[in-house]
Amino acid sequence: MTPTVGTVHVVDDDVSWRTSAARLLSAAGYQVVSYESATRFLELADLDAPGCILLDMRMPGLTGLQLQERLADMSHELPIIFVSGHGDIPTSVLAVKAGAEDFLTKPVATDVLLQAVQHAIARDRRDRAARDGLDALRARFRTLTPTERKVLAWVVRGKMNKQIADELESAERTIKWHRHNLMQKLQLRSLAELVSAAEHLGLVDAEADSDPDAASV
Amino acid sequence: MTRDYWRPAAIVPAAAYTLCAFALSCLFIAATSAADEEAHVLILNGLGSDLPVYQAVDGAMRASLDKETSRRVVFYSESLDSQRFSMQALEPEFLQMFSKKYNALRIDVVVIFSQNALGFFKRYGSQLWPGARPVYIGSPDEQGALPINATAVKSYWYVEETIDLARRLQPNARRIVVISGAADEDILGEQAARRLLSTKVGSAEVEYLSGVPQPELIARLVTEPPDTIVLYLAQFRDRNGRSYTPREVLRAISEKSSAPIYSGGSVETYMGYGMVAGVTEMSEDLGRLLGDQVRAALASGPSDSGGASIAAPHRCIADARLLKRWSLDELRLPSGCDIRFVDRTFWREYLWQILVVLAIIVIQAALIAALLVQRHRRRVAEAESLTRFAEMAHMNRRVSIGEISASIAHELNQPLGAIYNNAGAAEVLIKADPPRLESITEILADIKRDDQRASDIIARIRKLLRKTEFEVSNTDLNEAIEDAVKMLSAEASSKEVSVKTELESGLAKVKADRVQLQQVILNLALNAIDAMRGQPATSNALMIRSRSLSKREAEVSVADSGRGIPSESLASVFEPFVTTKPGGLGLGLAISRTIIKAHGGEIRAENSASGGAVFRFTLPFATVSQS
Repeated sequence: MTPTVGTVHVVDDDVSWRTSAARLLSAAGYQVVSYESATRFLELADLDAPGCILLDMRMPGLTGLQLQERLADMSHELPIIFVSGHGDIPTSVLAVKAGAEDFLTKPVATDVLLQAVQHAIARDRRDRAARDGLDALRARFRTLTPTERKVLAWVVRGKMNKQIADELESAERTIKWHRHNLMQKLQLRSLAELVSAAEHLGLVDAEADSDPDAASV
Repeated sequence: MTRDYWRPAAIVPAAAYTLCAFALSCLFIAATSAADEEAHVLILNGLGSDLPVYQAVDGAMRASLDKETSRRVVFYSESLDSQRFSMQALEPEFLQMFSKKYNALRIDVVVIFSQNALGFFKRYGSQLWPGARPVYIGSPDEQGALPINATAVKSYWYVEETIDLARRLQPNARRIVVISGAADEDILGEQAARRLLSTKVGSAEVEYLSGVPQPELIARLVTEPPDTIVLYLAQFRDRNGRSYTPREVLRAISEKSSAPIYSGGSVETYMGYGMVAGVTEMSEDLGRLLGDQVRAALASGPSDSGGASIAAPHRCIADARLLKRWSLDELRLPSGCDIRFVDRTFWREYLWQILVVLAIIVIQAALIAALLVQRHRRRVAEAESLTRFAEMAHMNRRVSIGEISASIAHELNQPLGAIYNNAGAAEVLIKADPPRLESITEILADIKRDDQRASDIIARIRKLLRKTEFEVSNTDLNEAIEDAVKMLSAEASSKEVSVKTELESGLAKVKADRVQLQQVILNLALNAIDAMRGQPATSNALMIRSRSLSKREAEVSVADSGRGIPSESLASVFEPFVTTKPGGLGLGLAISRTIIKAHGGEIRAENSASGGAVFRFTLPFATVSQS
């Protein structure tokens, strides 16, 4: 098994389990940081590096589920693998609904644990990549002129160049030129790509008839 | 002419008459009262005063007279001892002495023992004791010669009857040896025997040994064949003139004799001195009859003629010991024979006492048995109730453990999970190329530690689930509490309850069954955790405290931060089947109370001022001296 490089945050109040899990994951090639409680994790953890959280369900103070909630509130999307000493179905359902990556029961078979961690980190990497692509798109979107943004809004709504020219009281040629420019700026090649990017940017929503000028990021 | 009546000539003779009559009547009264007051009875004994026959009859007669006479009887006694001393030589002196002694004394009755005395009385009686009435006791041979006014009690030698008796016992006897002495009395006896036995020889030959000195007599009897019948009459004197007490002679010869010795006569005084059996009168009968005769003589006037001669009944007597010694069959004795010296068993002697004692013993034994049965039943019942309780307590522990089984599984999975992880880590490190062995030692140490931890948890539960007898020992209270808390911690944390303890350090050991003590703590703590269900998690706290309450006992309290116990339920929380928990049996507190009571402690519930319930129980220290 080739580990995907990343940091595993082990959060467990049981020192034996924490230490042993850390030892196993280090041996498997991961960066491991251990925390004796959820609070300590919140204080210390570097959440920017790719990785996952190996989180005990039942802990004094902040419980696993509460930490999950807290992280969601903070929009941290590090994948969480829950580990429980005694898995009960209601709790696991709750955890998975709240977006848990996986739900394991102690004692966890070594390969199951390693696989879960690997998957979690892979997902995190994918998510991060996705997030990174969107950020770039947004940066490029910000370089558009107001007119170009208006043209974009009308284009993704399926308007023809002539119709847009009429709306903007401009020549069809001018619109064509704006369209060419914005495709260049957004580094897009086709209308389909443009629609997809607009969707990612949140430019296409239920208020299809609203003033495209309102669309902003 | 009434005046004549008062003439002096008429008065004098009348007065003289009256006076005379008065004086006479006074005299008469005095005489009768004197006669009524005392009767003088002289016992004239022809034999020695120490002779047992005499003493026995004399004693019986006196007893009879003492009992049944209205007048006081004064006894005098004189013994002539004629079988030892010659009467011819001593008679003048006796006469002189007696006339001197009885000169001024009026003797009413003279009781004459034996023929010698009778002869003396006949010669001098009227001279010495004028007016005295003679009562004779003795051999009737010369009865015809009794004084006219005499009465008599006849006494016989029952030689014939005794020989009959002897032949019943020894039907095969070929010889009969008759022993007598050389004194006058002896000779009289022998003559009587010769007279009676002359026709009664039967198949047995009769031999007479008269006046044979004792050593020679013994030598003769030693050689006698055992089937010989020996008839001992009396031996006052042997032919050498040596005097004996007949009874002592019998005793001496019977010890050595090889044949049984019989006797007829001498009343029963030979009994116990070597006589195996015989037919004779009884001294008591003779004495009683003699007393009757004396009484009759005292009552009769001086001029009355003599009364009838009477005879005493005779009967067979036998010595059981000697019958045994000579192997004579007791059953051959005639019915009604008075068998003496029967080796009376304890049973015969004290039959009714024994029965009473036995009855008491039986009753007591029955009582004791009943009590024992009762006690046994009580013991069995107690043991049974104890067993029932132990079972109930055991069930309660199982229920408690069941309640926290999820937590226990969780707790157990921590070390198991750690072991799995460590083993996995070791596997990865060993499989690496090159193998990375630097932390293997550490990993193995951790595996061992976690394994130990898991087995500790299991051991704790097993200890609590074990079915044990109630066994009190010196127990460290704090240690027991800490152990219970370890068992609880997982459950508490799953219910988001923090468990705290405040244990007094250096607490002396308590007298307790450790398992049951932990059971109580567990019951109280689980109740407390339950009581806090549904409350905001941050405030849920369970506090267990221990402290010494006095020199004698320690107290444990279990406090929660729940809503407390409704005041109306405070009194009944320890009752069985009273529960506030949905699905609870209501046995935990009831069992806890029973356990604490069995330990000699107390348990109670209260609500604390700060809210929540507090359960307190006490336990006695193992040693009071420690404070």
